[in-house]
Amino acid sequence: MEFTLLAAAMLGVAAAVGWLAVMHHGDAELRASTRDLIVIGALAGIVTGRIWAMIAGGTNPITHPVDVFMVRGGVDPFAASLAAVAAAGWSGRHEGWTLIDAAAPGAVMGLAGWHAGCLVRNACLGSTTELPWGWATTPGTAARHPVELYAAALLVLVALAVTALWRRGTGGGLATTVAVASAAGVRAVTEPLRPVLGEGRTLGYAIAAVTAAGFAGVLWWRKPTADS
Amino acid sequence: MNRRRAVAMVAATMLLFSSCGSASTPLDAVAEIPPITPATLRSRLAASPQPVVVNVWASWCSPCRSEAPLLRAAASEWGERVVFIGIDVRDTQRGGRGFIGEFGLTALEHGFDPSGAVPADLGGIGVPLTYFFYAGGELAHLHRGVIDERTLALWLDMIAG
Repeated sequence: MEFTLLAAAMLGVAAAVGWLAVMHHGDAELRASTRDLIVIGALAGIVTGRIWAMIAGGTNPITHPVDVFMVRGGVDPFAASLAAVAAAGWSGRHEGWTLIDAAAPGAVMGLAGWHAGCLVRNACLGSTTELPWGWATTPGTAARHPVELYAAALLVLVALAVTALWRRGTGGGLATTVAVASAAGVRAVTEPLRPVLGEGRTLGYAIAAVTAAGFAGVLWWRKPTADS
Repeated sequence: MNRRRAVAMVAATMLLFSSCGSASTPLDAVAEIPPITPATLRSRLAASPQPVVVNVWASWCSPCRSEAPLLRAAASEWGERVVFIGIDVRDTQRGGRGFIGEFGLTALEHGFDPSGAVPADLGGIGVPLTYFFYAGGELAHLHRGVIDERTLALWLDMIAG
């Protein structure tokens, strides 16, 4: 039995919860609420993404319910993302955008932690490269991009930017939509460097990034100004 | 949302799920799995001009079920450059053929090893196991447990890219 995937997931949760603790250190109630929101979103995303991947792979989740727990067999990222956002939105519906916006930077930092967890899983490498920072798995083999660390680094920058946006008190869903657009953008940029079976998911991530950026643009344009 | 509507949605979802997945090849259409020994596999590996992926599986192994669709996709995509061999261990012929049929793993060669001698000879314990061999039979990597898409794609690229 291999527990490296669980260790990487725990690193992601630790990064998210840790960042929320830093962000909301003076407000224990907000800290707990945002943490719960992220955990609910993550669980909903993993379960839905796994079930969707099972169906796509030809396994019936009703007749083989145990397979849902075999997360390593695949989690569909699009179904998982939609379910995570929907579950978080549903859970935080009574607070409007306030709670979801307050959780968004932590969610992005959690994603960064998940990608950095490739170090635990020994799964950081992507396509071959001649750049000096390329890694080789064994001596004599071609160096490869540490693509998951690129993603982790970019997501940390996104989390810092979204935190700054949230601290400016823009509210109204702007921090959330910017976080979704940026996270999808990071995946779209790094996806071509990842080893995949089939066509890859670059186009899907790019569409998600552009769509979320469009929503963010609308929210930015409609946000109330100081003199209104 | 009221309770009745929620129950109706869950029932509709379950109906949808129950119509998804299932055998892609009838059992009768899956041939008997030929027996394989450590010696025959080693000679097959040594003589192979192409890289080889050896996956050790069993029909009673739940983790094997979750990685089977990945192996089917990999064999479909890389089958012209890489040889895929499945070793069905500690299993019955009927169980093994049913597994191959259910997941449509007909693009892989399969060997039947009821004693589990092949993975023992290759230094592996348990199922599933996935071995990646360079052309000529040199072992590049042994992955223990369920393999994920990234790891499978990375090592395919390593041995055949």
